[in-house]
Amino acid sequence: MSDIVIKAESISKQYILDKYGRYYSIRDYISETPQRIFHQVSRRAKTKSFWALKNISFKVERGEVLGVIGRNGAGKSTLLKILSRIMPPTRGRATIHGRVASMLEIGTGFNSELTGRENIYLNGAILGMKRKEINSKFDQIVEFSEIGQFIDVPVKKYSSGMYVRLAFSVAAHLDPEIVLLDEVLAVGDLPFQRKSLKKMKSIAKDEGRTVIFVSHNLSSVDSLCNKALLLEKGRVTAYGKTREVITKYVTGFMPKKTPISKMTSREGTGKIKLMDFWIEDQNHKKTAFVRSGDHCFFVFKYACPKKIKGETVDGGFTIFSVLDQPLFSHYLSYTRQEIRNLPVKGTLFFEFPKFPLARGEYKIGISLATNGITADIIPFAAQMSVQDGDFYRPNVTLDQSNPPFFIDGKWITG
Amino acid sequence: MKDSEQTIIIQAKTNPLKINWKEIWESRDLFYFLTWRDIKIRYKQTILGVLWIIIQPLVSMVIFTLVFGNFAKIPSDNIPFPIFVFIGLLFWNFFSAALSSSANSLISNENILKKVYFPRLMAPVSSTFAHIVDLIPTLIILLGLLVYYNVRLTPQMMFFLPVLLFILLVWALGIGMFLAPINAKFRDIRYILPFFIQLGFFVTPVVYPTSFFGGSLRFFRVINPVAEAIEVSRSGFFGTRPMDWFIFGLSTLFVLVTFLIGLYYFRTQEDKFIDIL
Repeated sequence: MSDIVIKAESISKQYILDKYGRYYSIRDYISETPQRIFHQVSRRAKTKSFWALKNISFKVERGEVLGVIGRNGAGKSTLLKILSRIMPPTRGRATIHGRVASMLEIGTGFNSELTGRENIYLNGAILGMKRKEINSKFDQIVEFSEIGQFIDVPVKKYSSGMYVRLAFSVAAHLDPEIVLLDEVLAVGDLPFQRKSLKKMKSIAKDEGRTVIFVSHNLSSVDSLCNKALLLEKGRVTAYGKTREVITKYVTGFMPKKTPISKMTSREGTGKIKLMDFWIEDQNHKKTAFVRSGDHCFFVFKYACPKKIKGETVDGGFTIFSVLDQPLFSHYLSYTRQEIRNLPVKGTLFFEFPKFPLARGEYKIGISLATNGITADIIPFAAQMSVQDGDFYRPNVTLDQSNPPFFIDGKWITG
Repeated sequence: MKDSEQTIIIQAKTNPLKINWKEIWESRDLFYFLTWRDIKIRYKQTILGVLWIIIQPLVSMVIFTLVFGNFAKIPSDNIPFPIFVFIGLLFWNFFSAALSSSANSLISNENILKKVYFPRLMAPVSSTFAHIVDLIPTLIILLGLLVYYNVRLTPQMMFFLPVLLFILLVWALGIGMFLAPINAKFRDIRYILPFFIQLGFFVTPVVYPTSFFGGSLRFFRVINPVAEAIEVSRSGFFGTRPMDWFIFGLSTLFVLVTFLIGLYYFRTQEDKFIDIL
């Protein structure tokens, strides 16, 4: 038997847009009747509709964590609502094997008049727990929520932090085989956010548990999910390995490439100006991409409007992940190589004996300074793509899925 | 976990006749907590709390006795007016409260329905059943009145009281299941319904006897099971008229048909109302 737990076959959801929006009254209905009949008779009835989801198909195997990403209104929540059986699809079908818990928000059904204790039972039951189950997990829930002595106080007297902590704790103690999660991560103050993130990770990583995780937080998708699905306007535009899907999503936002010399998003005195940047392979040939472990060079071409006299020139670059997290930098000053008497025009090379980054897309920021004062800084000067390579052993490609770095070093055994 | 091999199929159309009884049975804890919540909330915010459900019927009994018994001199088939009107109010209040709760059950549970799946029938069912608790003090008062007026609680009435209340509960649920999805779509039902309930109070023999118009409203009682319940109780306690099994049977059948229609309609609307809630 195949181990596909969730199978979605061309799920589509159509919404009819009528001018009344959500509320509709019999009074309106009656007064509109002549108009409606006229429209039907003259066959001009045009109902505006739009497809919130169109032909969504995917399969999730047991134990897999699927991340669903996309911009607001891409249909992520609609997809989750359909899979949770809150609303039916207009077309298509999905098959799910196992006990499902959906967490589309925390604190569903919390009632402010009831005490914390009563809400744990009510919310637990709404989320699909049996009374026995809640009884046995009750102490854990209270302990995790850090509510303590306030457990018998009506939740309307809780601070908003206490409220979300309690709500999260109930949801976090569900024990289903399949979890549908919608950005309920990271609530409360910073320590509790860390705690809840850790808990979510342990839920997602738990053996045999299948998770569909909808989030805007790309780095948590990156660290939690094996696979990802990118939705754009209700359609799947990318589906596959998480890193690749995220890259596709993020590069969609990146501005069109302009030559570095003409870039305007730069700051500094302008005493030195970066004119161009490219990457060369070990034979000093320009290359479009590098492989992990490659011997390669970053090449910086600069020009100065005037000859710089008596000032020390420093410069370097920082590599960022697509999520704008700085990964590492290198400046002339790091290795005490600042330049005195810089020629008016020229090129600088930075040599990587072994390129240390794993497969993916990266951004490069470049800056140049004279006497410690920024002359030219371009936060996002270039983008580079890295492919799988043979960092550790010649001609042996290592597929390192999540961590972004390779590191030189060795094990000492025996 | 033993139920790990359950398979859920999600598709556009659900068959309204195919009710997943297993799933409903498995949601019994949820049913319990939803009902319990409704009861708890209802009495938590009132100053007098539980006392209120005792005071309310007593006060209305006194007022109705004064207005209709003493001033308007409405006949009561020679039954002492306080207990006569109390029996009427008992059934009417129970029915109307259960009906308005079940008709509003989708709107009042909107926030949960939109965020979690559970058998949707739980919403009207739990809202209706929450009213059973209101009966406890009312029935105690009835018992007191029976003792006060020296009426014997026959085994026959011990049987009929709960049966009649249950029939009314089923009727309220049936109409409620029919109205709840309409209520979700047309928000003014919420304001129209109280008006019709008010109207129902006057066409139901709560403050007057069934013999008020001559006869005993025999066939009217078929389509108004509340009238039937009141008639059966009054004549059962005071022996004013013999038990009319034929009408009772027809009326019960009418309730059953209403219930099934309500259930069927609710099921056909189940996949639609989330979009409009």
